[in-house]
Amino acid sequence: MTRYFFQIRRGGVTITDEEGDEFDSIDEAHANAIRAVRELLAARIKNGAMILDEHMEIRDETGALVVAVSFHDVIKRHLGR
Amino acid sequence: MTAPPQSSMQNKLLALLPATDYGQIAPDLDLIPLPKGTLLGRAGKPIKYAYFLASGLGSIVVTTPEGHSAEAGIFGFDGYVPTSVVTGLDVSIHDVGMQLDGEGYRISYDAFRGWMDSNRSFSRVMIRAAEAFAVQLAFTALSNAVHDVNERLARWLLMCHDRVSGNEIALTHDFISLMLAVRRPSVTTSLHVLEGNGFIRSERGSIMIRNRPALEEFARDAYGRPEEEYRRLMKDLF
Repeated sequence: MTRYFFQIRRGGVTITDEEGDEFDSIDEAHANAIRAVRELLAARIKNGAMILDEHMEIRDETGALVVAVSFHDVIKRHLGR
Repeated sequence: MTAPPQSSMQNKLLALLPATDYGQIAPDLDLIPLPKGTLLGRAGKPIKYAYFLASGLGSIVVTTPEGHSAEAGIFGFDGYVPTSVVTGLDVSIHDVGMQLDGEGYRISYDAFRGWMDSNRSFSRVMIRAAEAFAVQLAFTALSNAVHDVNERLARWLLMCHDRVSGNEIALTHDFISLMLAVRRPSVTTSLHVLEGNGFIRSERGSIMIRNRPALEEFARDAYGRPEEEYRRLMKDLF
């Protein structure tokens, strides 16, 4: 199990995650980040708020960036024709 | 350790009893430490004791057969658990556990039932408290349906603040996420909003309430009604 931290970056503002969560693999951590972003997006859309170009960054215990999930990319994946 | 004189009894329900009734029941109460994580009831298991908290905070957690969990209600020195004992049911329906370190008075199930049958004052207070708790659960269901995460978090922090001494509450984001049934980043983001408004300060493993009136204003109608009903239910009982 590895502990990953999920911080949100919005322009110059970073909302840090001091607790983190443990996952068996980076794929699981990534999937978790996408689910979390969907939940945040859903709440904002419901409230009629703008979806800015935010990212959820997954960092390891050394603070190194492992992967970043773009809020806009997550929304795009849900757009149909 | 047995119960103290009623004047220094911290549990509101026991403090509310007429002195003679309290005097009768007190010998059946044992003060015990209830550290965070202590289970006071387990779903489907027999109820051996009821607990009247003197300090600390606990919650009722409901779990589906597939393992999805959410908090249904919280309690502190304002109540007793499990409230099912009031009905004479000796099996706990939900998981009941301590979420912040505290102390409480423990009474055996049989003694509790005995006083329910023989002491009218005791049974009146216990029934009222069960109703007050049901009101809280109903408003939590309402809040989960109509309020956004920021408002629900504000409501929940106010409810915790009502039940602890001081302005610092030892809560992790992970725990709040279980309580509000949202993912942890939603908690972190909402705490950031409340902190940005100057209502709270969020540090690792602890939340400091900085401006309670402003937090109440922010929570709007998400907070207040169950607290009002509690006061009404506990007024003019004797």
